[in-house]
Amino acid sequence: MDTLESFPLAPAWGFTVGTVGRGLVFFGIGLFAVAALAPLFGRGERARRLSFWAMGAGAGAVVLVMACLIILLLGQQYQYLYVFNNTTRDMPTVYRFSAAWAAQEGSFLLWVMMSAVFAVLALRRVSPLHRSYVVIAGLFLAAMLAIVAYQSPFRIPGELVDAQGRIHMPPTGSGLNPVLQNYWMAIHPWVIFIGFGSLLALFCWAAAAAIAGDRKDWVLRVRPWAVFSMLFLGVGLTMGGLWAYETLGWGGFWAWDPVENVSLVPFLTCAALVHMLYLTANRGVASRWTVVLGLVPFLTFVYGTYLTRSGALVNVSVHSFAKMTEGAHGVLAGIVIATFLGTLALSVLAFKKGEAPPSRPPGSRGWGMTSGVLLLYLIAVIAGAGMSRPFFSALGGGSAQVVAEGEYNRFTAVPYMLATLLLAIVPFLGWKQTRSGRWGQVANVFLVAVLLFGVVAMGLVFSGLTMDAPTQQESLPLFQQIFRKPELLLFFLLIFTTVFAITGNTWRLIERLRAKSGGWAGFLTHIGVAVLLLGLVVSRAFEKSATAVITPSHPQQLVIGPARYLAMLDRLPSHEEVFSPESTIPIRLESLNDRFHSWTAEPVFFYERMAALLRGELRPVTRPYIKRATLYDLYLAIGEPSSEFVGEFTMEPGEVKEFEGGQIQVKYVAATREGEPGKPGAKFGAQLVVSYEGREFNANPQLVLTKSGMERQGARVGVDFLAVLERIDAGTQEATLRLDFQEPYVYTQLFFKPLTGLVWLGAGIMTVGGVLAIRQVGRRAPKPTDAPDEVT
Amino acid sequence: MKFGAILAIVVAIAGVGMTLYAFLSSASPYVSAREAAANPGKRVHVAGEIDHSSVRMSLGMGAFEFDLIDEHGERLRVRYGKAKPGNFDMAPKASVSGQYWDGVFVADELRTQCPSKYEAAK
Repeated sequence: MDTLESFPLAPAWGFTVGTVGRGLVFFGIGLFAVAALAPLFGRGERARRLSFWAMGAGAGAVVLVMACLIILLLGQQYQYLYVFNNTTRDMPTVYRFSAAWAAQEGSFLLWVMMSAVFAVLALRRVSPLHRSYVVIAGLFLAAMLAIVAYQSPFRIPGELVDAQGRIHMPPTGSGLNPVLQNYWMAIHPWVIFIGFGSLLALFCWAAAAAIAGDRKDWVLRVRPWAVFSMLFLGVGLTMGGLWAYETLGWGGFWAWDPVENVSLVPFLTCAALVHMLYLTANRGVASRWTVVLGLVPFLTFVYGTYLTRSGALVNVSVHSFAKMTEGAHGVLAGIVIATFLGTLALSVLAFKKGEAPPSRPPGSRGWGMTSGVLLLYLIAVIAGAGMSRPFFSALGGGSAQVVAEGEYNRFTAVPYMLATLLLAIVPFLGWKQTRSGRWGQVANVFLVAVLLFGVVAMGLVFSGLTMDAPTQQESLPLFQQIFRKPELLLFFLLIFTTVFAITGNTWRLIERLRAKSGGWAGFLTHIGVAVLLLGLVVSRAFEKSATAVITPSHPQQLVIGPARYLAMLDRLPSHEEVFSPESTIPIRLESLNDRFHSWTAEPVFFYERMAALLRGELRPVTRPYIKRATLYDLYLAIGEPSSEFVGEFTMEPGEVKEFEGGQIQVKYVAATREGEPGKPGAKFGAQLVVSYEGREFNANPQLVLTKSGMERQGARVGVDFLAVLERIDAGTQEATLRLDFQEPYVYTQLFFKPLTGLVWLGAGIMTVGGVLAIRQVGRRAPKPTDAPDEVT
Repeated sequence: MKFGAILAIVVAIAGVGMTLYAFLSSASPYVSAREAAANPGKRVHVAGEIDHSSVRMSLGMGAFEFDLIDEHGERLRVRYGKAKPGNFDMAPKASVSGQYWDGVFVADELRTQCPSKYEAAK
């Protein structure tokens, strides 16, 4: 209670904003319900207008809810649990803003907001299917917003309300996880959630098409929206990978984590939809299947959301959110079940209702694209099955089973290879039949790809990147390297098919540009995707890493593939510097061969200031240092500097303890005492004999009684260790000891990541291509009409 | 539908089914600390709380060690031979993958969880 009284009273405006935010959540639910129900109870223009208005107002209400949350975050209203848990007073404004989607409640709100905004934006384009569309979208949005009502970001803990009902405000919050305090936090969630949000519009559109029996018109209208969803999901996924690479210090972009798969599966199913829409729009084939495929991305997303947000994967994912409140969990489970049953029912309807448009022979291109779609689905099914494995194995009462990252790579390698082969060849195939000239072009592209691949492979082999450190001195021919390391063959096959895809699409892009015939943005997007994948495959396949423990006076060698460095610890941050987020540990990497330059890495290391001030905790934060060169990244990750070797252990006089598998022996000979107990200057010690590396050292660590209390005086053991006496029992003479290093050490891991620049380059090309594709496809879509429903 | 098409569909479904079966069979289980220790050499996963006071550098091994306390309160000594993940020192929980060997769980994968997203049910 004393603590509560010491907190100032929360300002009235903060309470008002929170109350408005909470009220708008319920208002939004009501508006979405009106939007859904109006067309069911009225059929005229009035009902239509009412439902449109209610949808727009509902979306506006959700945007305002987000605005309220952001105002509370920026206004530092720490009486709200969400604000307290995710911000501090000394945080930069951009991170206080980004905290709006950093935790469970805020990210649900972001999802609902994006879904509502896109559902409304698509509303006019969806005509003449608006009736079914608005009913389904309204119901889903009302349910999704109900999750926010249960899992509210506007919760004030009862502990902050005093006996008079007044609300007190803590002076600051506990802060955002420093891993999330990164520029990507301000960009990545928005981009990926725009993609996630747009999936609801796609689902409702496909559902309305299934109900109305529309097999053609919706295909033309929905295409730019589907490309939009695919683009934002793809770019969002890539940004997530780049963020992990730059921040987490494990040197990779992708780890097949369940949360990554939850984003990947909707992206793959969305990419499959985009290609089926192209096929249906151009040849009229598989129009029923296209409707079904339009339902799947949203279904996979809500299912994945349930897996990761419900706590089902709490122990098996890097990203797992903890359990939701019971009410929110129930609503989300209801949404998943409704989506699943709805997809089943609508799929049946899609096959029963409406007439398929006249279809023309799909030809080899049609079959090639269908095969590509099936391969995308195969990869999606593998990723989806892998992420579901722990959930279903635990559901049956057994222990959760997880699939290792390597197994994902192994099982998706063949579909990946086949998909990239199709990506290379299909653009050359004809709708009816493929002319022999086209096959000649494929052959030419193949030869160019072989040439390019040869250059890439030779570059990789002669740079030594394909060899492990122990064999790098030997210059073995490629076939012998492959014989010694069979997975190299698989990597080279993956690289070849990807290079083939880049070459084929570049050929077609140039052809289209020269002919000024339009429709080339798809090829540009394919090139971007393939370049990105090439970067991922090469950087993963030929990654090298080495670890070393370095101290200021003990440099260590780091050998990674062709590079050999002597790693030297320049200096450690001072006590003043170590709480600054800008604090770095300079590590000099002196090159021991001529091919590589010497350089200094400056990985970030600091202790979180607020954790130290509020709770007296030392929470270290480290970030890797990335030295980017044209053809590779050198990536240095570090651990927290420490001098601790063996933590507290207790011994009785005469006892011997062994450490490091017997390499170090400590014998506690006897307790020692100097001076008069209870008086300043009295010393209590433990006489030790420490043996290592065949030598014996005497040490007498002591506790010295001073006016301000007990002080520890460590005793040097040889040139490496320091023995420290923590406590000693005056009666039994049992001593609690610690063995430290005399110098602080830093654990370092250096990665050599070749061609990572391709990931950035590919992402850029993919984005430009995707945006242009939306424009090109959008031009061909019918204009929005105000026509009433064709079929009801 | 032609017999050839039916056959192709059956073969494709069987192929996908077998691929999925093999893929899912490659999964390895999450076990308790006691079960991990009772099955040396078997690849398993263990999840639990990190005892941050137990983190030690292992001399000569180029690895760091720490105790993981599973949901039954049992401790497992874990050795990890790569750099600590950037958020290890802030993470309340972790899961490790690897094999128990000679009194220590030798992990080749270490996953930590973000504390800000790791909230108790309210």
